[in-house]
Amino acid sequence: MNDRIAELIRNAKPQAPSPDALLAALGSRDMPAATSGGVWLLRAAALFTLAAGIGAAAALLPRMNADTPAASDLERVGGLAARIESLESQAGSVTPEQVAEQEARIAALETQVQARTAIEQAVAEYFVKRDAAERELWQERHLEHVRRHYARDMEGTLAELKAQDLPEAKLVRAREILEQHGKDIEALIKQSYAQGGEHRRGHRDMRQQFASLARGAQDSLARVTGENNWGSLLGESPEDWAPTSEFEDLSDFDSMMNWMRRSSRS
Amino acid sequence: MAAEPPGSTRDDSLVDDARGGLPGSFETLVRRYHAAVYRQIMVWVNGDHAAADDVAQETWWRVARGVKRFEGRSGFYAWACRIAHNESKRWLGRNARKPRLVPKPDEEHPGDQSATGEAVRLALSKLPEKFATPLMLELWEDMSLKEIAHALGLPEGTVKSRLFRAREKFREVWDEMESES
Repeated sequence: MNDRIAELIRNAKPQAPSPDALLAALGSRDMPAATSGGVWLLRAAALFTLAAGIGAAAALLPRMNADTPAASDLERVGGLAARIESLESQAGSVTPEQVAEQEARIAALETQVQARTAIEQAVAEYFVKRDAAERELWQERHLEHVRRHYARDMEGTLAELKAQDLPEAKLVRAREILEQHGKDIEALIKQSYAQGGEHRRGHRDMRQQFASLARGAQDSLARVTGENNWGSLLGESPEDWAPTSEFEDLSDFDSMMNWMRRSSRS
Repeated sequence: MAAEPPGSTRDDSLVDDARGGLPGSFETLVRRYHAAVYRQIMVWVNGDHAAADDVAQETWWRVARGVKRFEGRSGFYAWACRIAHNESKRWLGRNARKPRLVPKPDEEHPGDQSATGEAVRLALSKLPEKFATPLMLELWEDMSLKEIAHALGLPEGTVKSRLFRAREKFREVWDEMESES
């Protein structure tokens, strides 16, 4: 998010009072069916009267679950709520026909809401699956990039060592060290993707992990070859293993930004 | 906010306990969510603390009355928020014809008086509820994606998408307000 906008919204956070006064007003510290205060007593009396005639309608209203998806439905539910409240206030004059009418309208709305909920759930599941598939695709493209570039650099380094007449046994050992380092890098990158959307936590030590892997491989190579300068090949920071040209494709822009953001946290 | 973070897995068992009338369970839910619900109401009633107090009381009364029938198709917090939103709309409807008074300086809430703060809350009130709610949970309640998803009873992918769209919409509204001023 644009930092300025986020900061603006954060700074506009209103203060909230303690809930103590509210709880006192609700009149109960346990299950809150009972309430206190003149208004609540009047309301309870109205509800009791209503229960004799239109209890079913009053009972159905709270079942309008809050996860209803359509604003128009909600407005209609709000209208019905107002209507039922109106009926509550004049319960003595309510006719069975009025009750039946409200029940029928509520039943029809409930049917619509259930259908909408099912559709919204299906759409939500689709997006979750699509996100997972995209993440998998981005990971695979990222790893392909790392494998390709790392293999090229590794073979170049081994060719250079061979040209320096390093004994065959040491060359084999150097290849083993470099191949293992490549696998470790891949595992670290996979671990990052596996933690997916949780961008607030985790990966705080990504930089240290890359540096630690590089140091381990450099030490091993130094022992085999007697040379210490391996920094150009064994990148020590996450940025060294971030795709570059591949991510110029706009479709991978999010992936690149995610990778750079999370991996650059220290 | 209570020590237990909003959207924690304990909501489900607390709601079950509240349904069964277990002493203290409903109070715990109120203590956990009252501040977050109150702040959302503040946005919807144009920053009027007195109105927010009334609407919050009515909201929790309705939640209390309905909790036995709450079916858990959404998160408890999302359900409470939806009720709060409806109650706020009802309050606005009832007060629509009254002349809008210039709010008096609020000595109890001096931090809420800045013009920018009011403008931001006005901009938030112009967003659809399904976008504004996750945005406020993220930036005001410091909830993670996972916690928002649990509190609202939505998949994380849906929350992520709504947050993205909420930011875009807020930016549009804010830019429009800035250009008008």
